Amino acid sequence: MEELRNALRSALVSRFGVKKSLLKDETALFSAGLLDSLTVMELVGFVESQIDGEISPTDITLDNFDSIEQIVRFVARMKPKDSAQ
Amino acid sequence: MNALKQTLRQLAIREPRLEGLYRRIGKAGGLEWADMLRERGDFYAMGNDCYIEPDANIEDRAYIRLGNNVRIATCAILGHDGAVNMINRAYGLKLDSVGKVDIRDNVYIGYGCIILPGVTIGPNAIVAAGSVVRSDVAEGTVVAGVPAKAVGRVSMSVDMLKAKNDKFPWRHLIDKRQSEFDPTLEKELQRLRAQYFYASSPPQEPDKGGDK
Repeated sequence: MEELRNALRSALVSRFGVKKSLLKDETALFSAGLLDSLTVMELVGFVESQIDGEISPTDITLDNFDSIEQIVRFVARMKPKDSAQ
Repeated sequence: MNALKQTLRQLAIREPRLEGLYRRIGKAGGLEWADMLRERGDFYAMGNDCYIEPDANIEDRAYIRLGNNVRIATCAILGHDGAVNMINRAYGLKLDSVGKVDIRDNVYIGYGCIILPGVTIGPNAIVAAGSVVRSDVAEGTVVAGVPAKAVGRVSMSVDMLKAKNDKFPWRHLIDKRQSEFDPTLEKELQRLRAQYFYASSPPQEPDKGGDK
């Protein structure tokens, strides 16, 4: 999970344009307006590429994707059949 | 609705070629325009609570089905491919190239979109401004771009909007509103919004040229 956490920290700055100074693991990405609704699937796609698995559309919620911490916790909760890990 | 507007609406229903009078002189709003189109029976089928910007260019309405709560901004929706006429002439053929546009319940089509024939959109979908839709839009999806691709989930957009709204200083006025537009609250709403947007740079007094 630390690998995913680090990959998210890096990608959110370099690929999604979030300012490094604003980014903490608990920073609200979408509800605070750092990312907009048009970047949701790009972020989901990034997470999928990192875990080599698919995320169900019903799991794409603000509760699961609003911060690095929430994403990491969500992935940790995913059942093995949901991802290849 | 005043008498002139009512007359122009009836005229638009009886004589579609005169619908521009209802749009321009009657200044029909999107809800009124959709209501007129429903009464005129332009579409293959049309649900309730629809909003259609009067300037939206919607062709081939006989092949277009609209569900309930479909909201269409100024955009283009086409049920045919005009290139076929060029092909027919150039190649001496007699071909047809048409398709349905099936817009299901709870769909928003943004400003400047182009919806091409042969697609189903939704239910519960958002087509972001400027998108070109040439394939089906899955249920609950937000699509954007050219060609339109899935960029988000409507359910997540709803959660994001809720979180954003909770922080608005004018939240109490939105709760008070009786409809999408409440003229009694609009001025105060505008004032609070502008104050929030430009908190760090209050409006400058206009230069009256007194120093000249």
